[in-house]
Amino acid sequence: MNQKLLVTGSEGFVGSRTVLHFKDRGWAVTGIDLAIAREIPGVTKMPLDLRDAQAVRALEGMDFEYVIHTAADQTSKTILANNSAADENLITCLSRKKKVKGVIFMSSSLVSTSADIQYTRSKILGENRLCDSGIPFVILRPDMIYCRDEKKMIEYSRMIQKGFAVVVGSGKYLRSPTHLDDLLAVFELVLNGNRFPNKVYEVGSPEPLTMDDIVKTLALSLGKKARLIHLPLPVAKLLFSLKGGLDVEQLATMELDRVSDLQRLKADFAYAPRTFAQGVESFKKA
Amino acid sequence: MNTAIILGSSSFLGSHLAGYLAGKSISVTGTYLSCKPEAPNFRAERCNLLSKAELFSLGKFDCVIHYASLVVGANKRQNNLDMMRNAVEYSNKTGARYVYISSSQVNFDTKSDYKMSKVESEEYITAHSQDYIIIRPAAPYGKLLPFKYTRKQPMHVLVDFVKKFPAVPVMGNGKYLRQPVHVDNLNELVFRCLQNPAVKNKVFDIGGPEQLAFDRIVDRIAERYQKRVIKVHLPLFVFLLAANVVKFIDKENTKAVTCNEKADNASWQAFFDIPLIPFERGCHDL
Repeated sequence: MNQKLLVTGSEGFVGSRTVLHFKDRGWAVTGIDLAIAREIPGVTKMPLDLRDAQAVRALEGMDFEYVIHTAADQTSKTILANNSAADENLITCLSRKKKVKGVIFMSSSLVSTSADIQYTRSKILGENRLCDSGIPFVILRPDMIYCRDEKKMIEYSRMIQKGFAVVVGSGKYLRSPTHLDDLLAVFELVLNGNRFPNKVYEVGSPEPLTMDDIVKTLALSLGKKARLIHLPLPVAKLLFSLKGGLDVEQLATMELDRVSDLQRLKADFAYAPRTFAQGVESFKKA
Repeated sequence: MNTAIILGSSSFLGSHLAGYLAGKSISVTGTYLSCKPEAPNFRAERCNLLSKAELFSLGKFDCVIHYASLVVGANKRQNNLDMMRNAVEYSNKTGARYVYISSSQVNFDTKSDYKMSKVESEEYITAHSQDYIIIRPAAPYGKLLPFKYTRKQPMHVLVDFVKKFPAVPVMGNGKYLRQPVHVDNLNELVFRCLQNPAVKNKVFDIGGPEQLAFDRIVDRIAERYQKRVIKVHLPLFVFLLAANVVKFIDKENTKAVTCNEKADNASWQAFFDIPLIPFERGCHDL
């Protein structure tokens, strides 16, 4: 019999790929999100606002054993309230369901920094709520998830083709980009082995790179040279506050280094994610 | 006592204790957040102490020694309390002895967020911890180990001034008293507490063997480096005025600088015999 999985945030970048990944591997997948953007044959999809405690009770009648919780607000002015309500309602509902074998909670690499903003506070509250729930869990804190058709990669590739690339801030801050396939591989290791050690794991490339080096590596893989234009943080804040679509608080944490510590992931799952150079090389094969 | 976890091992005091306990054949794990201790003689684990899930991931230890504390940031009072609550719950659940490093500032007549977080933490610990020791060190000093620190101690900043400049700015009249304690003495007190389970649920002040006027401390450091420095006394109101303009100067912390420090060493001398290092000798480690 197929194993049954619920994916929250099924229309988002990670959620939508997760749904397809597990559906292709024979899992019975249910996806929920605020609104359904794309129906997929063989996948049950349902619009559901996790902030609505009454509506979330609908999950109690649904058939699933595992949950990958990717749904999160990253852009509004009420991130803390939205994410806390969604996490609380979901975890309360899952605690009532007897059949749930484990939850994978998508947190963020920002929680592993000193950033004290609405988004990190909401993730910490979610982590703690899950920890108190008694449900077996794995918490993942990936950094900068990317793949060939990810928005940032597409934008940078376009700019590089034109001979330049705009980098916010100094470009000297470190990042540990996580290839989407590495994240999906970790999901599989957890779910296929039913391994929920109730721990937090950081996920990211083993060698951190400066943002400048990330762009240069991408340019190199495209066989191009790009002039880097550094956009001062105050200018970027102004632009994004006018444009919207990005949490300005998160932008303020841009210069914090995000270096993934992979020792727990390697010790418990014997998994080593790829470097960014290997990741962009794989774009060519895709 | 064979195993210890130090919460906040990338601080000056935390890193010193980690090395000290490792030298006593204790298996030491130290947590850090943004500043990973380089080449330590203990196991370094990243942990955001606000995340109960991550703290509980770290396993079981005979004792939990809590140094981590925020001195900056708008939410430092609440965050310090939340970290302490998680640490108390963690040590209670795992049956570990809990050693909380407070501050001599709890005896000061100020209301800084930092001080209040220490006062409220002490109240919580005495009410909820099953097996605790609270230690309030006065102006700790000692050698800087070859680590990348979260921040230097004020004494190291003073030494930098004496070494680099012919004049040292002194807040207020310089007659306020300090009781600097050598970090080796603090380490020894923590170690003795850990070795003696019968000594429990106590609050210990620890300071050096003498109270010194701040001006005298500057003179001793200048003598140690064979320098002649001019002490420039700046009225306190200048700093308080600056605190109104520049947000990162905390008004209440500024007031704390001119409070007299008096540590009641008799509180622990009833249990342990630890010879205190006079500043005249100890300052050669600076």
